[in-house]
Amino acid sequence: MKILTKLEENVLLMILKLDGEAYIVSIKRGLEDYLRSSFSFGALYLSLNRLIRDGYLKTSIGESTSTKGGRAKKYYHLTLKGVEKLREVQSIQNIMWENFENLTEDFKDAK
Amino acid sequence: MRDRKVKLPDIGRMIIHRTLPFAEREYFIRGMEEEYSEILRKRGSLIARFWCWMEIIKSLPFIFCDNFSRSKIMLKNYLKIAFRILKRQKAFSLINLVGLTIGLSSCILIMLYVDFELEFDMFHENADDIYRVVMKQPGNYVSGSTSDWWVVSPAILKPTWESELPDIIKIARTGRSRVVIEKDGELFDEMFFMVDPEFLEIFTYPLISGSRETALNEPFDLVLTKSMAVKYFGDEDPVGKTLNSTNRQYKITGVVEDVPENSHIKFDFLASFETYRITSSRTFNSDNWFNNPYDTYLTLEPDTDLEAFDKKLRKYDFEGFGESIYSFHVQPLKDIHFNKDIQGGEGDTRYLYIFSGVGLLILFIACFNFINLSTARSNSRARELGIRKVIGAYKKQLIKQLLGESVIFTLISLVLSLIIVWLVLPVFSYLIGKELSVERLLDVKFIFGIVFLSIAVGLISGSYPAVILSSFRPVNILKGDLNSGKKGSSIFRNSLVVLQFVISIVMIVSTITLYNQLDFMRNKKLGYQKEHIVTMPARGIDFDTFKNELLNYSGITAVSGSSGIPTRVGWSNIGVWEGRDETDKPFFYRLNVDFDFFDLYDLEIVQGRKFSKEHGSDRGKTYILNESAIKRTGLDEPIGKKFGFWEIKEGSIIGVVKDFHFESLHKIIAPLGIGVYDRESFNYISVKMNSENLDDTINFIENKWNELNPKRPCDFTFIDDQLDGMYKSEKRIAESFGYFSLIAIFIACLGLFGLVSFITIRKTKEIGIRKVLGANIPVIISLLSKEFILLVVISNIFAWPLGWYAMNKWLESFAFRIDLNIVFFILAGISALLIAMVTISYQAFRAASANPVNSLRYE
Repeated sequence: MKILTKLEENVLLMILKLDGEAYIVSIKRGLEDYLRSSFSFGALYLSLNRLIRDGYLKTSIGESTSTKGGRAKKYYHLTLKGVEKLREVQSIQNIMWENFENLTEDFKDAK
Repeated sequence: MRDRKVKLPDIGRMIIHRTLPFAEREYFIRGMEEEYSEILRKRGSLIARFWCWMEIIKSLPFIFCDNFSRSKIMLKNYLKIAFRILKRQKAFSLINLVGLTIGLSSCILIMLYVDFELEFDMFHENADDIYRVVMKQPGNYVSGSTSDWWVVSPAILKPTWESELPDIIKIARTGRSRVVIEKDGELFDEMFFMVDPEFLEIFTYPLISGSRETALNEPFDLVLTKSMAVKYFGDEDPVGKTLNSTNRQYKITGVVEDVPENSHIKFDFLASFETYRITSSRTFNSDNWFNNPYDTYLTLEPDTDLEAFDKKLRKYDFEGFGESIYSFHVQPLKDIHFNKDIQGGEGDTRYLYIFSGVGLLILFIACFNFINLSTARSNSRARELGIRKVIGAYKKQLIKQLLGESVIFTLISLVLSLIIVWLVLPVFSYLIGKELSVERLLDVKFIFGIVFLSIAVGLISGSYPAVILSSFRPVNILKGDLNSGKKGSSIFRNSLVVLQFVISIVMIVSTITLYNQLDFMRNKKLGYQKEHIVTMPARGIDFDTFKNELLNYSGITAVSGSSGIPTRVGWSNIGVWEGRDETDKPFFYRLNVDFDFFDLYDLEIVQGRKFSKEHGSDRGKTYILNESAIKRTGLDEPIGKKFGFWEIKEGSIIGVVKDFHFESLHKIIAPLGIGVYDRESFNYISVKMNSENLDDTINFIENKWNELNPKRPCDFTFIDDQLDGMYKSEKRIAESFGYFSLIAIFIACLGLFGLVSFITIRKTKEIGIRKVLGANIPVIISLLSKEFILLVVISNIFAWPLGWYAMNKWLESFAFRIDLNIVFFILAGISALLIAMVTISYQAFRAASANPVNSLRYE
C-alpha cells in the first residue's frame, strides 16, 4: 500500500476544500493559512505532479473567471481514486490515533 | 480593478525556463507571478525581489526531483522498446553484440596488461620514496648491454650512510643465498633472500603471522611466504618451528603473503641479514668497498632534493678498474622496471604502446561496426520514430532515447565481455608471459574505469546513428518513402568499412613479418653447433673426474669447461694489443676455455690454429680473437702480435675464429678474445651428446653429477632451449599479434556480413525483378558484392604503405633481419579479400537463390 506524505495528504484535502478553484497559488495560500507554515512552489509542484502520476488528481485548463487577466490556469481536481485514497488515509489515521486521550492521561497534568 | 501586469525578474524567468519542461513553465511562472505581485504590492520591490530569489532557490531541488521522476517513467518505456527491438531484430543485435563484446574483451585484457606493467612495484605504501642504490662503473660492461650501471653495494654501505646522511629515513641491505633444505629426508634447492629488519619497514609485505619488530633481528631468523609455509608445514603455523639446511638450523619467526607478480623483488624466504655475520663473516665485516655482492634499498624524506642528495654521494666515489671513477647513485623505485640500462628493467614501454595501440584499434573496428549496422537498419526504426515525432517527441528526446539504447547495448556487451575476460585470462597471461590476476578486475577503480569506458563507447558510437535517425521527417516516413538519405551517408559508411579493413590488413602484414623474422632468427646459422649440447654451472664439482667419467659413456662425444658459453659470455675487459693508440680503450668480450671447447662447439678457425696441449705454452699466454676483434684492432697480420686484457704481458694472438653470434641477433657481433686457462676459472661445463637416446644420456649425466656432488642439484639446460629463450618476448608478440589480427578481421567481417544482409534486404524487390527478367545467380551475387569487394581492394592501397613503414621501424631494432618482401603484403591482401568474399557470398547466395515470388509479394 502506497503511503501518502503528509504534504500530499494536505494538498488533496485542500483541493477538496477549494472545490474547483484549486490552482497552485490558491493551494499554496490555503495551506499556508490552515497549517501556518510556509511552502515553496517547488514542493507543491512536486507533490501535485506525483499525485497526478499516481492517479489521485486530474487537471483541467480553466477559462478563468477570477480576477487574473483572462489567461488560463491549470486547475486540479480529485479523482475517484484520490477520494478512495483519502478515505483509506482517514481510517488508518483513526486506528493510529485511537485511544489517544486514555494513553496520554498521565501527561495531562504536566502542563 | 485590474492589477498591472507584473512580471518576475528576468533571471528568475530564465532559470525556470531552463529547468522546467515546456508544458509546465507558463503555469508555474503565472503562479509565482501572482504571489510576487501581491508581495510587491504589500511589501515593496526590494522584499519582493528577495522573496523571488528565495522561492526559486527553495524550489529548485523539488524541480529536479520531479524531472528525475519524469525521466524514470520515460526510462521504463525506452527500456521496453529497446528490448523489443533487440528481440525483433535478433540477427543484427547478435552480430553487433558479438562484435562489440569481442572488441571490449580484447580491450579489457590489454588494459589489464598495461595496468600490470604500470603498477609494477607500486603496491608498496612508501613507493614514491623508495630508492635503490646503484653504481656507475665506467668501462665495466656486462653481457647483453652496453651499460656501465651495476646494482651492487658493500655491506659496509648501510652503517656508513646511516650515520652520515640524514636524508635517509630507513636503509636495508639485501643479498641472495642458495640454501639446500633438508626436510624429512628430501633435499630442496631454495634461494634465501637475506635482508635487514628495516626491509619490512621500507617495503610493504604484511605479516600474516609473527611480529615485524622482531622477525629478522637474530642470525638465522627466517620468514616464509605463505606458499613456502604450506610446502613445508602444511596447515600448521610454522612460527616458532625450525627449518634445517644441510649444516644450519633456521628459526622461523614469521609468515608473509606471497609476493605479487608485478614486483621486481621476488622471494620465497626472508632470512635475517645478520646471518651473514656467521656464514660469510669476511664479506660482512670487510670495509673493502669493492666487496659488493649485496643490494641496498633506502627511503628518503619526501621532497628530498635528489640532485643535492646525489652531490652528497660524491663523497663515496672511489677509483675502480682501469683508473675510472666508480660512483654511487640512487634509483627511484618506479624507474626500476622500465629502465633497460639497469638490471631489473625488464618492462619495455615499447610493448606497452604497441599493445595499447592494438587494443584501441580493435575497439575502433567494433565501434565502426556498431555505427554502420545501426545506421543501416534505420529503415526499420523509421516508422516508430516517425510516430513518436508526430505524437510530440522532440528531436532531443529521440536522440536521448537512441543514445540510451546504444548505452544499454554497450553495457550488456560489457557484462558479457567481463565473463569472457574472466574465462580467457589464464590463456592470455600465458600468451604474454605475465601473470595477470582476476583480482585486479574486481578493483573498484578498475571497474569504474571500464564502465565509464563502455558508456563513452556507447555514446560515441551511438551519436552518429542517433542524429541520422532522429532527422527523418515524419511525413516522408509515414508516406512509405524510405530512403537512407543522401549520398553522404553512403560515403561515410564505406570509409568506415575501409578503415576497418586497413587496420586488419596492417595487422595481418605485421603478423606475417613477425613470424618470418622469428623463423629467420631461429634457423639462422649462428656459427657454432647448438644441437644436442647441454650446459650446466660448474658449481664446486671435481671437473676432471666428472669429465673422465662422462667421456667413458658412449652417448657423450665431448665435454668442455669454460668461463662462459656461447649464450652467456658475461665477461668483458679492455683489450690491448701491440701497436695500438694509447687513447683507444675498447671493450672486448672475454672467454676462458679448455682445450676441447673449440671442437665441442665446432667453431671455425680461419687463421692460425686452435689451442692444443702440444703447444705447452698455450696455457695463459695465447689468445684467439674473433674476426670482429681483429677488425677492431686494425691489424693486417694478427698472428703473433702481442695481445692482452688491461695490459700486455706475455700473451699473443695465435689464431682467428670465424665470427659467431654470442649475443642475440639484435646486436652486431662484438669483439671477443678467447684465452685458455686452468679449471679454476671455469663457470660452465658443456656436454655434447649423441643424437640417439638423448633421454638415457641425460639421466646418466644427472646421476654422475649427483654421485660426485650430492649437495647441489644438477642444473642443466639445452643450448637450443636457451636460444629460444632469448627471443621469448618476440615470440610472444608474434603470437599475440596473430590472435589479435584474427580478432580484428573477424569483427570487420562481422560488420561486412551485417551490411551485406541489409543491402540484400533493401534490394529484395530489385533482386526479385531481375531474376524474373532472367538474371542468374552469379550475376546477382556480383551485383551485391561489387561494391564491397572494391572497398576491400581500396583498403589494401592504404594498408600497404602503413604496414611497410611500421614493420621497417620494428625491424630496425635487429642487427640481423629479414627484408620486407612484397609477398607478405600480397598474402595479407589476398587473405583479407578471400575472407571478405566468403562472408559476402554466403549472404549474397542466399538472396540470389530466393524465390522471386516471395520477394515481390509485398507491394
